[in-house]
Amino acid sequence: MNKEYRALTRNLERADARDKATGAATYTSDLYLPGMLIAKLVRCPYAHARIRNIDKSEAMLPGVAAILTYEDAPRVKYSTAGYPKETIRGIATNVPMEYLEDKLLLDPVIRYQGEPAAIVVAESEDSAEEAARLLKIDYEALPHAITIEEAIDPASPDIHPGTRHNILDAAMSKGDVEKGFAEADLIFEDSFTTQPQQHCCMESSCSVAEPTPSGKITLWSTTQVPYHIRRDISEVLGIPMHKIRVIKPALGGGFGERQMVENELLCVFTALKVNRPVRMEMSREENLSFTTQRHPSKIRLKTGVKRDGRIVAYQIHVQTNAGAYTGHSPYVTKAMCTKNPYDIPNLKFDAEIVYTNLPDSGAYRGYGNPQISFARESHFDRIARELRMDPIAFRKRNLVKVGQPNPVALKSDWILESCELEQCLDQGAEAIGYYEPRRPAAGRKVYGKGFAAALHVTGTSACPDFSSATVVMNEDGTVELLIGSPDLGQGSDTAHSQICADTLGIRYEDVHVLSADTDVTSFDMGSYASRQSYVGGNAVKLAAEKVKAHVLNYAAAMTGQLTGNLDTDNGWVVRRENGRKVVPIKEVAYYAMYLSPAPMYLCESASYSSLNCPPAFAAHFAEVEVDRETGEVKVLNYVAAHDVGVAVNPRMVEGQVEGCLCQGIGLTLTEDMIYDREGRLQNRNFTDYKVPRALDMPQSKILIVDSYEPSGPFGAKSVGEMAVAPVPAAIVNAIYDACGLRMRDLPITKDKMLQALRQRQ
Amino acid sequence: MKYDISFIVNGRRAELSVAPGRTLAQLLREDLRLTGGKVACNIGDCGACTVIMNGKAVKSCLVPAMKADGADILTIEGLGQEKLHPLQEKFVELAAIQCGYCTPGLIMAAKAFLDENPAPTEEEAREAIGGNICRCTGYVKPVEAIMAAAEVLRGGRER
Amino acid sequence: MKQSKVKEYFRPESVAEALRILSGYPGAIRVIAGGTDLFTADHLDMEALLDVDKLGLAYVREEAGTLHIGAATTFAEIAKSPLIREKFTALQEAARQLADRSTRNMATIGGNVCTALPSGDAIAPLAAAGARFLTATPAGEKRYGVEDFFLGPRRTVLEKGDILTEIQIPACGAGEATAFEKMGRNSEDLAIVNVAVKVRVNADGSVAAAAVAHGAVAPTVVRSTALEQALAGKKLCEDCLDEYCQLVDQAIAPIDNIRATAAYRRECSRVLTKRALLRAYEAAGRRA
Repeated sequence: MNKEYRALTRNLERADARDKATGAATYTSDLYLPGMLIAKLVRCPYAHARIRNIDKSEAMLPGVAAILTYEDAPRVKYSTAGYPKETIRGIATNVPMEYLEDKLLLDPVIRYQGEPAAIVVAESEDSAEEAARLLKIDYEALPHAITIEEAIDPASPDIHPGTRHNILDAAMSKGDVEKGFAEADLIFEDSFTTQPQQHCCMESSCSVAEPTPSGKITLWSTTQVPYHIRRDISEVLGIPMHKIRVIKPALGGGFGERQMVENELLCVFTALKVNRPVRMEMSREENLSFTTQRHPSKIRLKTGVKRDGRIVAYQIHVQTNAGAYTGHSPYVTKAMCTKNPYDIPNLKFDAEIVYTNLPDSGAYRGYGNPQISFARESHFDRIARELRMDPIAFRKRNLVKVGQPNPVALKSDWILESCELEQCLDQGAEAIGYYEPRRPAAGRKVYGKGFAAALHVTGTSACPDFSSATVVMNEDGTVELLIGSPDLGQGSDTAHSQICADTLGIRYEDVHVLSADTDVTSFDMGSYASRQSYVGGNAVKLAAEKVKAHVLNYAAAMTGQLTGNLDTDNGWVVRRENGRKVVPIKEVAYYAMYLSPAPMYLCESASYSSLNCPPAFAAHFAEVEVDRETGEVKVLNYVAAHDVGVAVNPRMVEGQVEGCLCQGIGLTLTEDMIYDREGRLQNRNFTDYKVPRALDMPQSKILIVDSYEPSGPFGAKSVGEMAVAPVPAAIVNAIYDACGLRMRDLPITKDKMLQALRQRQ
Repeated sequence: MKYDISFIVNGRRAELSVAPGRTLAQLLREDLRLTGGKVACNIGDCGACTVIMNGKAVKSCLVPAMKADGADILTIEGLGQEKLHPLQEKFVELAAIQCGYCTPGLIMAAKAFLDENPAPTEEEAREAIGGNICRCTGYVKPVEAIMAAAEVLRGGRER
Repeated sequence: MKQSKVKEYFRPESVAEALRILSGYPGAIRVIAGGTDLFTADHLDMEALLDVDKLGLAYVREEAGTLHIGAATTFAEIAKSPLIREKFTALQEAARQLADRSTRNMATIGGNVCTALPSGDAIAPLAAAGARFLTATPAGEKRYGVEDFFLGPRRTVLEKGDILTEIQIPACGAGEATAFEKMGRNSEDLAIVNVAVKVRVNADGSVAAAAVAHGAVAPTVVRSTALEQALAGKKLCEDCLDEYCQLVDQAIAPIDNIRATAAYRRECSRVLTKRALLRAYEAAGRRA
């Protein structure tokens, strides 16, 4: 019998949509517990300082429960990246762990402006703020370095011991790049820079922790990694895991910012000290200034090509501004090496990860890919034009193909099993009319089109990367899906429900998801690296198959038929050969629990560990208008063509691409974090940190090309981060097409664009 | 000093004693536990706190609580009590909600807009939510949902 | 919490009562209209607020060729007013680009004027149109021209105890038109620069008089007197305006800050002035 997808590939309503549309959904920031105290972080005004003395005397006002300092805090180091120790150890094997796990809960040495120096806990926000103002902390200000240039300068302070004067080196290679350059007919070099970008999750970071006399602590938090948080709480605060419960309620955005571990530890530590529920919420200014942001980068590319367009050598040199702590920096920086949808025989990658006195740069949607893809696709656009080659043909000449080694891991035996990038290029070019004549100039405005191609990971591409799922069938045939993976708003709960429903053969409406509660749900590494549909989805599928096997066994017992002749579909046990209904699943479930002589609880768990990382692919096309008098760049039309494998929920896939496009446009044109010489963020609110608004978005079209990934659940891969990477170069290449100027430094503000236009005149 | 104020919220009378420096957002969220509207920036830039006061969309984080006295206020909780409002229906149906944090404010801004402009162009709908930041959707499906809801409200055929 | 030190909130029902409260209050008291600027920060020095929303200061009317706009009129009302569209287009254009719809429902023209940010979008139009500000003070009613009212960023001639009550503007008549242009970093921004112009044309299509006012390029709004003089008697087109608008440089003193460079503000002031002049010139010609 040929089964049709019932839930897969359908635009089914999100599991939580109605709660969110009515204001009923509860976010961490909506939690007000009885007896709750408010914690405020007192932040150091210097970029680099040592705390000499803390005088609490005036600050201990009535209503203040405690003021905590480094003297109260355990001196156990951790990594803000949240990864398990083995993962951290593996990223830089020549660097001792103490330089990778380098963060203390509260430290007498401050390494970025705004780093917490003390925690005030009080009955109300007002009394906490008042006490914070009256707290007298005597700092010894130390020399600091804010930019990459300053930090590398031998005269600058040693911000991060254990490194080559503030530099962590990384190098990777494949083949022999010098030999490749020697064989090349032409060699091209280009340099680019990208700026920091803040996630601007609409819900500011918030944690609420509640201790109980039995020693159990519950933490609700805006986290993407509840299980990493639980483990870090255990390791840093010395609490056994069964006494820790971490819950992610409805979450107002993640994008990688919530993969950072810090605020949660501070909140739990505080709650345990005062032995009362504590709420710790960042203001918008704090969240923008003192959490984490995309790594700013300086990228130098050198490519050797044959006259026919074949790339024979490709060399990347990168410098990233890591901020004061290691965190995600080695991973993000090294990830730039392999974000390459091309078959390149000789490749060399060198990186300098530079420590500075800034908040640590971290994970942000794309994880290094937007930076490197911006550089590479701009560089390749130039190369193609200088070769007098169609830029699309140039890409096609070099694309990686199915059957070849998977480019996301330089040294592994993974083989690419699905790749529809060529389809993406063709369909995208057609949809935007890439080959049609350009719109003629209108007054002082000119028009152009550009594109970029990219891939992105589906999962971390590093082992271990595993998820697990628990499927419970109730006696009425409905199902609880208990999964650790946090839904950040991207819809993983919904996608997992769809996969569960179709695997089990029940209706989508009969699945209820409970996710991200470490006491109840199955283990999951967390929502990052675009892993949930694939790694999480495969775990869901395995668990659902186990429950399905029980259903078929009990159905066989009930009906006297052989399990081999039975299947499930749409809430029924059916005949495998022709789909004829045999017995409703709900009757089988009831039988299994109450009527069978061998009853059982229909609950199964399964783990899936990804031994592969099938990349998602995309080609984006932009049409822009450049106003030569004001420097305004308007993106008029945009086509994003994506290979996501099979789209579990097409509208949700589109939503991911559209959201990435918006963040990508911000990255390209208007967003920036502007620090002064003292390392203080100058644009710390939405007035001056310019995220795109509804009128800044182009007319857009999302194309999901036909694709199927054999190792994915029902053929699915990923999309969550993919669509940011191609955006900057698509726009930059379109700007070049429009006015002949190649912009190499993001963001391309109107100011910068006009300067470039004027300089050329 | 506290002031006694009295107002209608979601069709019901509320009587509260408020400190004069408070904002309407605090009143709604902390005193009345109407946590649908959110405070995401607290300086009136992002619109997550938008509610409808005396028929007009306002950013409740900027409205002094004292101005609520005698006012008629509608929050997201009051919008679709027995039956979802067409805006809510379309936001759900057309997948215009991702993390959902901006959604209540966005829907209230859209409702106030459609109340005055029942037949907008897409450009006008975009401009109408210019005061609302969404970091998840790129505004594409929310605008689609607003246009679809407008059609339903005009008595047009369900899409 | 915002305004954590505020202890009292007054909502008087007459201007006289408001003046009494303001001059009699022993501590730090501020006037509040829409609150869209005041409530963006926690003013620790503020002890009391006086709300003007019951003083009957929200109106738009014309009397004998003069527009009278109550200081508490919201930008939403100004953005919709057929009278303003017809007789003072620049102000409506400014109102429609100021912040966003929800903010405009509360923000008032009086608030924008009294906050006196150099980038205040209502200010350049008022300057170009030769507005006069009426204030109620303990010493009686006073009137100010734009040139006397603004003293610097966030500083006006008003003293504690004064209330701005009304703004009076000569309405545009035959052969006259106004226009407003604004540049932001993206679609939703305060002004990096803004420009407002008023043009009156002669029967033969030449400029009889022009007023050009610039915002966000000096401590207060400034007039481009050199440019205004150069335009008199001329017929306008884009190419000649490219040249004339170089004279804008003489009037403005933009600064570098995190929002824009001085150079960008200079360029934009010229370009936006040209665009505003072209539109006002064409509109004035149509109304001749």
